[in-house]
Amino acid sequence: MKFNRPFENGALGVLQGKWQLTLKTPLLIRQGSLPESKAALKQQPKNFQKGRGQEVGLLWKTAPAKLKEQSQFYEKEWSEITDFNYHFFVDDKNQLQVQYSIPASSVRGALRQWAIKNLITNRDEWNLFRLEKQDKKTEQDLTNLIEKLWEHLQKRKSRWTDILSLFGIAYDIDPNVDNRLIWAGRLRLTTRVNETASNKVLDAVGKSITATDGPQNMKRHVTVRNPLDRVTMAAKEQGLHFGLEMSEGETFEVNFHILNPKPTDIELINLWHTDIHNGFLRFGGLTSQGRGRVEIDGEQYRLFVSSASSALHQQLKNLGKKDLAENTYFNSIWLGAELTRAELAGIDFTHREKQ
Amino acid sequence: MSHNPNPFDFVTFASASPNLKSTKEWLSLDSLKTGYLELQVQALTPVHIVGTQEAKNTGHGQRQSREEGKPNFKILNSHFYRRHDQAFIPASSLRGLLRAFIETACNGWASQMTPFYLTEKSRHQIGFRAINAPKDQFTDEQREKIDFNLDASLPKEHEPRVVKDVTTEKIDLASFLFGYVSPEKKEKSEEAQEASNSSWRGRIIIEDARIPADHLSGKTGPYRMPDVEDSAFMGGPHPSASSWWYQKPYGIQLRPVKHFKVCDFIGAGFRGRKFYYHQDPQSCVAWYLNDQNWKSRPDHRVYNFPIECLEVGKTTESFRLYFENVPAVLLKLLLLALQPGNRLRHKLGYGKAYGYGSINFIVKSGVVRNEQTAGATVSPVQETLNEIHNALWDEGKLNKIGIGQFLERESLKKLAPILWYQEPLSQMFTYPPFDAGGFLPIAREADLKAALPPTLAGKLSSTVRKVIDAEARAVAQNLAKQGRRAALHFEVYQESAEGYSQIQARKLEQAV
Repeated sequence: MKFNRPFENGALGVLQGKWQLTLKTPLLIRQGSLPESKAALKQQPKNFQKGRGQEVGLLWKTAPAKLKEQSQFYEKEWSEITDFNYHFFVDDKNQLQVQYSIPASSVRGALRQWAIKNLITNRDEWNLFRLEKQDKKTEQDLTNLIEKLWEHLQKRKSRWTDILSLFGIAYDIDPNVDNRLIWAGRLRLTTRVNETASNKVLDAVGKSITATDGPQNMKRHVTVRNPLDRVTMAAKEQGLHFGLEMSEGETFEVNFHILNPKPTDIELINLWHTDIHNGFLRFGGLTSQGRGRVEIDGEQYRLFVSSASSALHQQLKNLGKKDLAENTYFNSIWLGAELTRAELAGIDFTHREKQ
Repeated sequence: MSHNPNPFDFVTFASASPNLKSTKEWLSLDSLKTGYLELQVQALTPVHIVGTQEAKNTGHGQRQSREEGKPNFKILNSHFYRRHDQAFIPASSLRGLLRAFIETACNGWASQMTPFYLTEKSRHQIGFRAINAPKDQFTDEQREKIDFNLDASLPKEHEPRVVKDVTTEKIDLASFLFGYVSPEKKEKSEEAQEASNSSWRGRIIIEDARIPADHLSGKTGPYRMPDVEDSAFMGGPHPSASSWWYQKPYGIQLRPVKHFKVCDFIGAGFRGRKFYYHQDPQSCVAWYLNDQNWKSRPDHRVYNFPIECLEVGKTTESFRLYFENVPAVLLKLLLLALQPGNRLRHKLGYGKAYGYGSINFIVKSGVVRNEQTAGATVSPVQETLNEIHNALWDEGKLNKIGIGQFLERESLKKLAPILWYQEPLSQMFTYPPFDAGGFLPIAREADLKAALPPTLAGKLSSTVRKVIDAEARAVAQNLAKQGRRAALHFEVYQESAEGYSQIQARKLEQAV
């Protein structure tokens, strides 16, 4: 059986998608576990013996120093708190800035994981293409593994082909070895947190405070967790954890484009849409506590096809939509149209595949 | 002197080893179901989850032992837990409640344990290990403050195992449903845990339960909590090895103090998993606020403060409990845990010992779809719920619907009298006081002489003399008769409490 490699006929179509997402439950994406990446939270003034949330504060820039300084004291005023994911950038005034962000890899990972669990019916095959730590394997082990995986893809009708074709795979051993299992994925994805007037609000222990320190481009809150010891029913020692979460109601945008879209990609978009709405597909961490449920409030799809893919080109033309490639460098070479998800489902992408 | 039973009791760890299976075995039990339930929490007694607690410096009542100038504080009120002005019951509390119930009902591990307690000289408490960690895992300071002659207090078989590969090695049912992280990996990130076979992502997702503003009581009353200035009202639990309260009797030793010798009652081995009885919170709090019942001391003035509660009879908004690829038979078990019958109810949140937090889960609706994939046909869960309700708590019927095999009846029989909910809630449960009717005074060698059974007479010294439970009971009963330290032995204290025989008459089979 011949196995089609991606892009062997070049780029014949691009699907651009945009989702506007609203958080129905909080979103948690941790910045990291290093002490330098922690913020510091205060709930009480020093020496307060009773009460909670009397004097709430959050330190960001000075948090590591403050936490280190008071580490020697038994009674601590400031607690370590796991921050939400952030990134640094240089703005147009050449100033270093910091913003909270949702990593594209986090959204991409959730979509990929969902695809594996819902398309691969044999549970034993779920981890087939998981990238293992290579230092534990010899080069011969890896070569054997890659051969086995190729065999799996070529001999069986596996939906892994659809998943790997869309998301890509990089099983790399030696650049000189021809049998590497490396495909560039066809899906590219970016995210953007929408800034609103309510962004700067931080809720800690039921109190809203304006934290002037650190990134502020989203509405957020502090969560507290502490499991109960099963014998004493008291808080388990060293079980107290604070974290910053993006609050429900906040919105963000996911932009993606898929090169050479295939029927299975459109099928996946529809299934993702359904299960995002139903809450089975969530983003970020701590989903066990209901985090990361979103609703797609707005969606937009724009399909561009090359005239080299004549059947697909003709189908798009027949829809009579405004040509988005008109007045661009691609005029008459590519045709572009804005489509609904239903219209997208009506396009027969197999025509392109047969070419 | 008569006394009320203690507000909590223990469900002893089952004599049988926990039911463990690899995740592969758990998954192959039955066809796999995915779906969600729309639930509500209904308050049977007022429910409070602590949010902001306003407090003030009273400026008086400083204790001698306190650091100079350290003031006392009074809590003025306790707000319900909120996020951006929205009150809610956190998902973590709901998960914890269900997991603790399933661990007990299905003879599972004790998944959350403080690993050790250190010696506190000021309290004459002996440090001990709760779990079987080897000595070399402790710091030098910890080693000095732990008695390694005592076995770990949690039975070894109920301690979560270190599992390197969950697909082949075995975990308990609660870990399969709610998730497992190898004790060695708990410090690692969620992503690192997921990428390893030594952790298992749970099959259950529970969301926060929001509370409509008009379902909450006012912030100034009528529900109140007793408290004392300066410190915590009852203090935190101190499951010391020098007590027979949390731990089973192990031995007695004499300890010289200035002019005489006192007795240390050494305990070893936890009595079991703790659960709280249901009771009427307003009667209970009123009992503590009556100086005839609970003596206010100059350095521990009793006062009370209002707590904002989910009102009795009111509900949270609907929230979802998702299940993902759960064997059908374990889905039944989950439904049973949510609704264990009209007589057995869960407790949640703050002030459980004072009667707060009795709840009922309402299953409003639910959809189930077969394993994989999105958009597949769905079916409602009402039929399954009816099947479970009809089987409660008949062993034969529970076996017939497939869930009897997972239930540990020995534990359930002990759990039923504790979680028994029957209005009117006339039985009162209160903590033993810090006086002769409860935890005090210390027992001197001379006091003990008259209380010792013949088998122990003349056999005590500064080394630990092991005792059997009958001997320990005799000591506790005799000391109580002398009006000394009535709350020495947990079971003896409960058995001698008012109404305890009626409590023991509550039978699992009648809890339907």
